[in-house]
Amino acid sequence: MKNTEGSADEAAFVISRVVDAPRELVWRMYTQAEHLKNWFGPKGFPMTHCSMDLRVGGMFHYCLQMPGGGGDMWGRWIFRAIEPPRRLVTVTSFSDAEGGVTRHPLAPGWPLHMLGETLFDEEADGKTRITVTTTALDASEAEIATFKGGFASMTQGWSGTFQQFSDYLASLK
Amino acid sequence: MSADRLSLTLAALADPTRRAILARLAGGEASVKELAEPFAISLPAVSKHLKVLEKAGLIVRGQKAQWRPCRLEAAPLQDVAGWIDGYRRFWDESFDRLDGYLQQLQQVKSDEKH
Repeated sequence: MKNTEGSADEAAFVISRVVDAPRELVWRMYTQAEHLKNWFGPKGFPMTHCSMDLRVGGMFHYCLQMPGGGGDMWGRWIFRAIEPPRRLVTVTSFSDAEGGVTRHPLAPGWPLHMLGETLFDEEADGKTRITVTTTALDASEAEIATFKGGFASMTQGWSGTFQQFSDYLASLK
Repeated sequence: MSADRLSLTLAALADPTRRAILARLAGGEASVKELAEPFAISLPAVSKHLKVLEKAGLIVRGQKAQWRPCRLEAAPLQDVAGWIDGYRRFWDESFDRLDGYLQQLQQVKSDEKH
């Protein structure tokens, strides 16, 4: 990870980033379709669909086009709490074009629903810290294990193991 | 629900003892006894963890030698590494884009003032 700070405990994954803009503006970036289109998703994944119904129970439904003919990636947020400009709580899921919930395309054992809490905190010099905390929601024991394994894999110590492991593999070749 | 491989691998990685075992094996193959040494748990308990890791395809057990050494298996870990990379990239690059977009918006705004 470059600028985004990440940490994980057993059941929650937290990412955090400070951006150089006032909180009200950052809030709009997160809650208005015209703005989300311009930043949500990795480089080279243009947003080809974006509908926003910003009310509790409403849906943000999006489609990202994967590069190299990789197909469409649909996702959705259902808003649980909307507290401008400080806090946003969403139920996050993979989705189909109709807005129905689908399984994780790579790991079908992943929980269907994740709870995401995004906090916008004012920092010095008119900057804003964005903190996203993700947990599994209404998940089975097996799904929670998949979730934990995925995020536990991202902790610092364990990432070190991957490096060590790559070195080990290289030494075998 | 049928257990797909990535989910199976992730579930196997959910346990800190199993992750520690894999970390040890990243340094080279080892026997069950050697793997049990750093932990305050019994040999059967270690064997149980090894079975989970074996089922997830994360390790293989030697068949020939009597001490049946365990060794790391590359492919599933690489899948997990790829998956983690994808997840990180999603947020890292989204925030990069957000940062750039915010600069652009605020630049326009301050230009309009002048």
